[in-house]
Amino acid sequence: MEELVKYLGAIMPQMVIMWGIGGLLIYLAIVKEMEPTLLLPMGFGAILMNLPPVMVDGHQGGVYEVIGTLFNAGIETAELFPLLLFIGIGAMIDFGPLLSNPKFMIFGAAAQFGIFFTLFAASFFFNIEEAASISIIGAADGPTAIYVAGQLLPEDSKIMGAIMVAAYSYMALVPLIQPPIIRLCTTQAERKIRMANTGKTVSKTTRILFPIVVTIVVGVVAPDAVALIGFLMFGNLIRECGVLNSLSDTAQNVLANLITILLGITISFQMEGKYFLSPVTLLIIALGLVAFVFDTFGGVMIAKLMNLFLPEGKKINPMIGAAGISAFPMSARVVHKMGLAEDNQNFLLMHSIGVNVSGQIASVIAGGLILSLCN
Amino acid sequence: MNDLAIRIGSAIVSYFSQIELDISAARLPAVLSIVGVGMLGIFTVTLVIILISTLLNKIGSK
Repeated sequence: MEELVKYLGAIMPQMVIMWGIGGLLIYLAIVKEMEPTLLLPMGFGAILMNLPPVMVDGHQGGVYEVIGTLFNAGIETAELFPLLLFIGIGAMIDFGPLLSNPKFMIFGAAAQFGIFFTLFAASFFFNIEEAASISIIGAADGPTAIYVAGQLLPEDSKIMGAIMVAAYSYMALVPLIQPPIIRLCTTQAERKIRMANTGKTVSKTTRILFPIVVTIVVGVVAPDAVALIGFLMFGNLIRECGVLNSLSDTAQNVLANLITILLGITISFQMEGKYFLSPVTLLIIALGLVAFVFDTFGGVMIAKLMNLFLPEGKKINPMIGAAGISAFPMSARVVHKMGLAEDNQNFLLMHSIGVNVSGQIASVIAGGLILSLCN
Repeated sequence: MNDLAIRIGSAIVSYFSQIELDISAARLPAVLSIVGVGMLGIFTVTLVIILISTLLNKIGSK
């Protein structure tokens, strides 16, 4: 009875609020199907991390120690989880739509504008390393955000949890965030622009050489990004080589699922109420939204700029620029649906997928550049 | 009613007054340099990848 009272008495108001936040994440995952693979483990982990502490030999033991060990091994020490997840993501990505129209890469680059704008805005409130870690929410790519923030933030930093929650929540909210920004930046006539499919096929040789050559180029120009791009391209090479189908299948399914389970619950190590429930968290979440908004703005605006120089009939539907935000494949689907809503015969999916894939590469390069410039 | 509004208002103000931020414009030159070089860098790398992809497409189509 005494033991029971001891643990009941250890329940703090912050813990109860975090149970509510955990419950909300689980609700969004199950009922709204928003990034369920990550929001559900994160939500459950948030509850786990905010239960009365179990003290063992003067330090916090129990589930805290278990998740802490996972955090140290998978994120803190060498960012193993995000890197391993990148092998799976690389194996899932088909670079074909991008390779059939390489100039679409430019939209991926432009849609990283939100990262740099947010870095500028965040620097008024945080030191450069923290501002850069917050800005990388705009990469719209969880593993990149974890990797960059993990490299830049000191071990005792307490803002990692807020960055992770913001990064994954906004990725889930892409279908709500992007459409109003796209509408604001484009006219109805622009949204109705039809784009012909190139119809180009990409040879197997090109598909195999692409991941190898990109790894070398990025490794030379932005060495800090080589771990991220290298694991992504390694996964893609396994997919495209044609002789490792079972490995490709394992990377796409078993590996990606296993790491996702561990990553989601491990991130919750940073969701202790006493650190998470701070006004700084709200500020980080607000800055994350700024990053997503300006990413979308950057992508759309570069397409509009290109249209100034393109002849009639070759013009680009500027909405596809918004798919340069990395959130794959939600962003491409959003653009495709918006195109159909304006004109039910306007099929933008192949173009928006190409741009979306380029955003995946560009966000990793942006992360590497941020690391190079801030370290 | 006014009392309640004042209490809620002061609770919000005291919550946000906990914020300990390193607010400064002194970092501005360094940040602008990172932003400038970063944006230039990403477009440069992208252009190189576009050129390489175009070249690979030509090699692959032979």
